[in-house]
Amino acid sequence: MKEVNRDILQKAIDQLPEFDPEPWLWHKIEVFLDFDQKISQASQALPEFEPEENQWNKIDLKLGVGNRKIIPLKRLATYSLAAAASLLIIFITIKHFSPAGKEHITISYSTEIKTLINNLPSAAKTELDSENFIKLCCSRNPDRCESPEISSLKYELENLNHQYSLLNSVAEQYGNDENILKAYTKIETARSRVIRELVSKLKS
Amino acid sequence: MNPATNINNDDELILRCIRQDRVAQQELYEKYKRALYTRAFRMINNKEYAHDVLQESFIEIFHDLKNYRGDSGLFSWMKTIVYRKSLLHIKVENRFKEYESERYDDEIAWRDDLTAEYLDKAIKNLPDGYRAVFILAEVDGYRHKEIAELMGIAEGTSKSQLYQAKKQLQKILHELKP
Amino acid sequence: MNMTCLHIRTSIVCLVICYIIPVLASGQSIIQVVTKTIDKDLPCGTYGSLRITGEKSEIEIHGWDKKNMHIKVQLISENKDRKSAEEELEYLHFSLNNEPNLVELSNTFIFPNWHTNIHGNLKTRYEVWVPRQYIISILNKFGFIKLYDLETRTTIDAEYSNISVNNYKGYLSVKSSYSDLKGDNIHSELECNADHADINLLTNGGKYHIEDKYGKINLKANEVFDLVNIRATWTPITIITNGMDRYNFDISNSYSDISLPDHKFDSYIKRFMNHTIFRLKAEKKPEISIVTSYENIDIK
Repeated sequence: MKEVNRDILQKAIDQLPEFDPEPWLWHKIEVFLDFDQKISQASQALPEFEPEENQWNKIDLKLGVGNRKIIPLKRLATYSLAAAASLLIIFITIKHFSPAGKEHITISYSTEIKTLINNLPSAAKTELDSENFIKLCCSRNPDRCESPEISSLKYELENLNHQYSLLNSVAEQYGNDENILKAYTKIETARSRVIRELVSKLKS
Repeated sequence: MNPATNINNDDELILRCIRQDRVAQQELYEKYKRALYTRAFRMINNKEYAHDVLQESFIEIFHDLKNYRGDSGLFSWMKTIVYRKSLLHIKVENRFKEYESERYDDEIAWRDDLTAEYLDKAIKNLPDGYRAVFILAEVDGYRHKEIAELMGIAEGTSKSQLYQAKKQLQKILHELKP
Repeated sequence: MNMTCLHIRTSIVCLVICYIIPVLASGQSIIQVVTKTIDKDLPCGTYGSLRITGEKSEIEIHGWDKKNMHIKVQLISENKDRKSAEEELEYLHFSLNNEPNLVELSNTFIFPNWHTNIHGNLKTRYEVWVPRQYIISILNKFGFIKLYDLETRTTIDAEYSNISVNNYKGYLSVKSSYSDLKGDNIHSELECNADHADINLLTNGGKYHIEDKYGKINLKANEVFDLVNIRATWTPITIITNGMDRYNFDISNSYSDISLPDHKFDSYIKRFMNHTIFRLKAEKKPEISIVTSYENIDIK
């Protein structure tokens, strides 16, 4: 992109006006900061509680102190160092070869009782009769059907019929479920409405 | 446009702000409020929202100052926070419209009599998305990669939006001053 | 004793028959469902973008205050026969692209050359938890989209995919085709371009630019709207204001009527030919502007 007088633009940009916020804005910020500070102070001043006197004995008992083997300190240090080194190696390996973030993949099986819909229902007989009536009216009186109102409704009906075919092919390819059925119901409701409007306007 | 930053002063100011020194916090606010508010207001084109953005930004700044690592300048860091919050208030046209061509054949010619006053008026009349890209790229010097990250768009989209913004600015400037 | 055993056996057989017959008679079947679940945690900052491109997908996005993202994706295959369900699951593919500040999720169907139509059902379910201010972009067909607790900028392109938005603040752009939009507790700037969509919004202020045809629009204000701008056709519209005196009105309807809550506004209605116009303007009030045709407007 070639720009002419780029320096003039830059000069104008450098001289663009600046604006100040209203004077009261700092006070609003201060109120928030004071509130945050109070919460922080209150949480630090929360009371502390002492455990019961014999609590350690209960814990100790559960740890099974009785027959512990005493490991010499030097050997303990060697074991600890070896364990830490192994963990470090494992950690680096996992970090290096794993993608960011933990990922778990599972496959599960379950059964449900539901209706598997193989095909979408086709149009009701009354609707088919109405569509035939519309075609007949328009063939007998084409001028009437060219009016903006009626032609927009007819166009809409064609569009809805096309949507129905599209829905059928999606259902065949990827399967039927409650979302597809909802989509079908929407189209059918829209079709009924449009057909009703058309019939009423053609009859009047 | 950028407030003078004395590194040593800012470091000390940051430390005092982290310690919740209210005087220091107000000092930081007073030092940068004009530059940051100007950016918010120019981006959003609405005073009320710009005040909201500045308020929210400073609260976040004071909250996150302890995490500020100093790899970008302090003002740069604060500016990014303000722009992120400002962008929530505006719409971006064609966010996912992939630009079709890298060819920008039409020449952009800025008028000899272009002044800051007319440029300011013209920027205000730009659609939100164009205005955002123009301000970030031309007024603040963000690279397209940075703009793409800020606005959640592709880098190519940022380039094409900037080109369109400049074309649109030319039209508006001509209408304002034929 | 023998009679008691006989009675017990007979009762059990009757119970089993009473269970099976209704199932069979209702046309229902026992369906095998095979689900592959991918659970992933991604560290991220407060700001960034999430983009989901789905087909036959059910998408739920929840905002939260943590600085990480949790993604749960379920690829689901349903069939009467388990083996077929497992085979058909292989046709459903999912991809996750994780770049700095941008996470992209998508699903597609890839069928082998010899494949005939499937006899069961395939779908994908996304549940994602993101930082509240993450920028969201969703494209989906044949499913649904639900958003909860977000304060951000969202773009939705939905086809036969109903949308539900709860507790939302920020900018929302919706392109909807045969996808209803329902909003609860929202304060947003909404730009909606819809067809065959029923739009029901319970709002706490905000600006609403809506275009719709062959749908329905129902807007209710808990707080005052900042702006309502509707362009529609063949779409009945109901606006429940929080007091008529809080707004300016510029409403016109062709080939249908405008209903107002009180006869005192009748003098502001003008009717000529097939058009009805209601204009009520005063200084510095938010505006409700509607242009529509063929269906009623009801202002309450």
